[in-house]
Amino acid sequence: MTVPALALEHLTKHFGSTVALDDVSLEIRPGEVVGFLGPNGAGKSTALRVALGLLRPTSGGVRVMGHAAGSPDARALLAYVPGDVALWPRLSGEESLTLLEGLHGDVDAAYRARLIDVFDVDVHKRVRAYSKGNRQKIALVAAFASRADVLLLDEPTSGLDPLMERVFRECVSEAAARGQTVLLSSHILSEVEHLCARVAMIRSGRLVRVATIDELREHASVEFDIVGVSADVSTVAGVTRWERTSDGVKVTITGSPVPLLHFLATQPVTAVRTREASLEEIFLSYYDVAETRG
Amino acid sequence: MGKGPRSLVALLRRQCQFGVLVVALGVLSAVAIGIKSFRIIGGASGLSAMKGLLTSPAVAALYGKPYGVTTAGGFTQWKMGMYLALAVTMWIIFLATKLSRGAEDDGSWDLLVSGRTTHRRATATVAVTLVVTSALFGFVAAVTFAVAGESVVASGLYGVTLCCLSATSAALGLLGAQLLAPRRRASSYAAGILMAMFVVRMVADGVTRLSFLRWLTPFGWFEEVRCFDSNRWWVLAFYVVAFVVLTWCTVLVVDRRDVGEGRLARGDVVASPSALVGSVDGMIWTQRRGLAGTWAGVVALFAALMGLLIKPLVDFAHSNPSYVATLERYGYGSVVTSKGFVGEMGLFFSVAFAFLAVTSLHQLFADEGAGRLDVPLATGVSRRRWLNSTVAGTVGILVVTAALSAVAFNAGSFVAGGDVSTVEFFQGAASSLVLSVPVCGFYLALLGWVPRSALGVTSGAIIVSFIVAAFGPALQWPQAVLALSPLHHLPLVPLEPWAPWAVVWMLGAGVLLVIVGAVGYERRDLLSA
Repeated sequence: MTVPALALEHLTKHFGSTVALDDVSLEIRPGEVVGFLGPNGAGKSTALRVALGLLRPTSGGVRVMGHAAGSPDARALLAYVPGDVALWPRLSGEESLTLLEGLHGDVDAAYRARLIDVFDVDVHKRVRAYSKGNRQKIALVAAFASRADVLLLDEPTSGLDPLMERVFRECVSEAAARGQTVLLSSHILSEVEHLCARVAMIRSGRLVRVATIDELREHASVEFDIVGVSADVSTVAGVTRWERTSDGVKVTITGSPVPLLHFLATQPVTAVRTREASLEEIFLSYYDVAETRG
Repeated sequence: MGKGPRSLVALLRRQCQFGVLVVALGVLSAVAIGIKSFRIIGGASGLSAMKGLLTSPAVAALYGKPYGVTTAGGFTQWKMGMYLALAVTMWIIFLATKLSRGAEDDGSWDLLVSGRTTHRRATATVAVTLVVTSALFGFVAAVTFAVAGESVVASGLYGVTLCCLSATSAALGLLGAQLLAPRRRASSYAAGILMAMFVVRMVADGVTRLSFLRWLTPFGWFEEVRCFDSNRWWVLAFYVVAFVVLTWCTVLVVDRRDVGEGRLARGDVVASPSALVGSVDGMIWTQRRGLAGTWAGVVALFAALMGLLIKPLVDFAHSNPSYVATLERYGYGSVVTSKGFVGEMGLFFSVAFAFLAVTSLHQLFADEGAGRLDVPLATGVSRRRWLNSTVAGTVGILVVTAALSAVAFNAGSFVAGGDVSTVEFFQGAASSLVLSVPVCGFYLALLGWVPRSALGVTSGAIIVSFIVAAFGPALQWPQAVLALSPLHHLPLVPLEPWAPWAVVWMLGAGVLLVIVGAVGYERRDLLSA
């Protein structure tokens, strides 16, 4: 049996009376790129910080390639890019890279040089002169150049322009092709859709869904605009919403469309138009529930 | 006042109110201790034995010229005033840069000045806050003197003078914050100028033919106002002029610079990167070399000046038996010998080294709080490794600084013709290092378990220990109180032999506390930015 690259095992984290993570379990296989989604304050960064050994779990734990989070073996396997990169302002970009690489121990020097080139960052400048995006580029260069087995990326492109975001996507794809594992926390849903085979959705500290993109599509709702029908369709299996329109009905179903199609076969249908929910709508449906409850 | 400025005032008040309260209490305590000391030594009649000492250039360099010392107010101003002024002015410089440059560094200033409040107006509000703070310190000092029975006019003048000195220093800090970024750089330059002003005052008071230099420094004006003596109100005009000029420069610069940047250009390109930063130890040193250099320079300068003072003070004591008798009566008999003076100075060096240790260790908290340790500690070294290197680096800086202080003390003494040997100076410096061990342990124990309180509580403990050890014997405090200060248990090396049990006890307590702190640091959550 393959050891998971990253395993969150019944992970619970409390900050005083606040429950930041509640019995979260998630396994990521080696070489997988997994998106980590959820509204602000859902617990994504907390889960990543526990996995990095920066926060101590209240109960449960995290293992990196079988090693306990925070252990020397786990640290050696990890690379991390925070959403707001903090570096020492007096150091130059190059010195910051030297520091991070020196502490991690591994660096692919040739790849590092290429990354500096493609991310277009002037490493001779002091960090204090960098914008947020440039600080983020330094952290990305250090993370990718380390060739670490597991990359934990917490909103890594929040300060990057669209061109650099494209470079970032190429780097993640390249890392995945090399067999590196990536857990990507991001609010840029198109980025997650593009890069990740699987997504984990967290809400109010609880994991609410882990699924592949295809599974999400399968279970997504589909909207039917049916012309020529005026009958009540609410009793048809799978219908979650319906309303009458000027020339027929608008029906939303979740799951298999077969019961609806059987029903329509008995009706005077003159036209049918369908529309699938986009992934962004699917993702947002999880966010919406959180907002409604919150 | 509009809604915007009102909110800004509330924010500034919240940022500084605790510190202001602590410093105001410090001012009150210093004045009260000075007045009590005057009464304990027998007032004006008790001072007669020290008349020659008070006018000695060496003592004047340390404490300033004695004006009106036959009154409790004049004596307090002479005995406590100069160092109280130095402490208040240094603190307000750091407050000035915190409220202005510090806010620009962390980006909160952008939010403040992006609405109705302009950059200029926000800066003016900070300036007003600093002036009000200065006035509060002056008020506290004046009221304490007046309540103790001193002349209301002289007390008021002292309060106004302290307020003016503090406000002028605040203006210096605020100008530094406009010229330089980041905050650390602005604070260093402003504090450096203030320290230089203090040294100019020492030279002016110590060398008769250079006494005119007193008019070039705010600390010299502080003396020349001559509170509780001739009460020269007109000298305050110097402060007014200095404040207006500094504020005018600030206004000019505020309108000519970008928010977030200093007016003076800084080199943002590193031509030859340091290879040292590739290791934890190298990084720890790289971060602290500026701190180490500044502290070593200041401590060495102070030590050299003290070295120059040894012989004149001892010679004076030998020619004034009544002075010696007075000192012995109040527990300071040891300072009439060269070795005793070195031992007594060890008290000041102990405190300086303890603060140096805390400042160096506190960089760890600053890095953690800013989120700079997240990536290194998540993907590189362990917390324990970083902590060990921080402690080792701090120990190294302390040892080098102590050695330099011994060399400088020795050099000053040699030039003045003192008779303390080099080895004895080093013994004294080593003894002064002992306090730093429990202080390091105390700070780290707090950092490990209650990190946000570490700096404040440790600094407070050092200050209280110093006050108890320095003033407790003269104020005839109970033995039980004196015993609370670790400094009270350290012998006056080289006059007295080492006290092995005291050293073992302090080193043992220090090491134990370091272990307690390390365990807590390993177990707790890292702070997030």
